[in-house]
Amino acid sequence: MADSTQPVVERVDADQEVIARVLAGSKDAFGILIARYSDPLYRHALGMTGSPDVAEDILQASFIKAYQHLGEVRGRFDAWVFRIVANSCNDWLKNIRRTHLSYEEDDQPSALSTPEEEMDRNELRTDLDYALARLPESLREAFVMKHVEGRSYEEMAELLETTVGALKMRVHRARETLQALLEEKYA
Amino acid sequence: MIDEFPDPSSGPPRKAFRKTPPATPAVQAWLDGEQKREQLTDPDENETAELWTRINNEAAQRRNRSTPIHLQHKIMSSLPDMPHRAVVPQPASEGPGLQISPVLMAIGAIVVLAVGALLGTMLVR
Repeated sequence: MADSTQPVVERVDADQEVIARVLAGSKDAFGILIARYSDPLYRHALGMTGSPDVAEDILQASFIKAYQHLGEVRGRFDAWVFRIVANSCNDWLKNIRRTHLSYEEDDQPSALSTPEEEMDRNELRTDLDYALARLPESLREAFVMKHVEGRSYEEMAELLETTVGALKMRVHRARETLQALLEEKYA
Repeated sequence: MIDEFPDPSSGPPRKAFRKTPPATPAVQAWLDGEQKREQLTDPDENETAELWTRINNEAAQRRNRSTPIHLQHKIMSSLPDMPHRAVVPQPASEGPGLQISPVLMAIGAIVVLAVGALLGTMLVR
């Protein structure tokens, strides 16, 4: 997750080394794990909730939970902490029943130059937020991981503990639903 | 297909996704990276691919987002003092073994002596 070019085995070993240091009493070493994995986890939380504030809260609570239960990690830390974040996002979605997602608070300047292009992009962004907010949780999760986070189906299958085939179906359905929602908006 | 939005009162003309043909298996395969864009020969498929190119560009912008700078410090400062360690059962060989209290040992000795005395008495007879 942090560095896709690093072999998984090396990453797991490196993480285990840090975990051992933390468990031996070095609280600061936990910062290494946060620095390694916070970006993809933040993007996931932001993609799922649509709110930078909520994404921050989820990330903070998830890392605290991970720290408290660090001794229970078996295998990949990144997959383990991802599941904590993913479950928190799903819990939040179940509780909040939001009808609109907005990325306005975290708006970032685009590389597009002309006002027309910028207007087009703003419109697409708004429309995409509208449609994403209405996707069922499991479809949104699959869509965000594939299109926003840019993960491979194999990586998604490992993180979500399911099959590549099942995830392909979810992503395909998400695309179809997303298109239908965009059309519905303008109907 | 991206149509002009019909409401003239909303300022500049808006573009809509109405009538965009649904993603065919070929478009899905292209989006999954299993085939090239050039292989989409159908005009409807190309229209859908055009829409998805725009959506993917927007998604790519979001992919560059990183964690707010203050968040790592915020998380670190809110960590409790020590993480919980997993409860790992002690291997049997490293354990303290069977422990017998001195009282139990004394009672055991008395019982052994009594049985011995009883056996001795029976043998003498």
